[in-house]
Amino acid sequence: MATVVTRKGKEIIAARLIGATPTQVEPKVSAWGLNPAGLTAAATDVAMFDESAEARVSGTSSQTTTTNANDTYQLVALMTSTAARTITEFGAFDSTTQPNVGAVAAGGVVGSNSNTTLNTAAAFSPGNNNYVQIRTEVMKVTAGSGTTALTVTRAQNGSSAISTIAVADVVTPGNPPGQTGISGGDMFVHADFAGIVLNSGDSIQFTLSVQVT
Amino acid sequence: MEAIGQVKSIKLSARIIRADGSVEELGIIAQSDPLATQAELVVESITEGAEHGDRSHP
Repeated sequence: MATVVTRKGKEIIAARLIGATPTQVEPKVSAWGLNPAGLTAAATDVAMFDESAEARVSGTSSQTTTTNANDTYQLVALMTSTAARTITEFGAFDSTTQPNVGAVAAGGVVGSNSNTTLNTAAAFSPGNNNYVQIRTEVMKVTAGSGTTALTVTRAQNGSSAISTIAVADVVTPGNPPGQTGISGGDMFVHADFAGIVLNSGDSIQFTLSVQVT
Repeated sequence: MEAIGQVKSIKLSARIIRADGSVEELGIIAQSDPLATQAELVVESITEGAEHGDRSHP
């Protein structure tokens, strides 16, 4: 279980200090997910492992005190399940838009930490020169966006190439630092945790606290 | 030497609100790695020793 400010999150913090240029809206939108492989959140992540279908929720933010007065950014968000689910991950974003995801198809990167062809179950359009995440690995799409056979550069944004990619794994677009090509792809914080079992209509009120020293 | 402008800790807590209105407090469900925080403190200690000319121990 981990909670991290992502590399992109560090860029977001710096941009918020600058203010109007570049424009950086507050990353107070919460998302939750399923993380079926039990993966651990890392600062290199650019996307949720497997975002759930419920819409993202714009939370309520405030400054609170942990050690020194007002040294903590707090975000509170209430999310409600539309079906029976086990929630195992949380993300904070700067947009309510959920990027369109793909699904891995056989061949290519499946079982390989070096193959550069990403086959998808349906035509997938993250856009060439944008980034995607599968499990814990971030890849750059260099060609083939809009088809079912995309060319990728492996192990981007400080992530490691993995050989555990399987058929039907979720492919989620996201933005590493310096990139803005994916709407809804700016992830500030990513957390994984033990599964919380929900029935339809159950809710979780998340409270995220980020203390700055 | 105090680091300036660093994220010191991140904590995520949760409360389940069931459809029937019952509430379950889960408390902190995920947080930043305390070992990492400890490592940062060790590095700060070494830096302080060096600044004071004492290199015999951290």
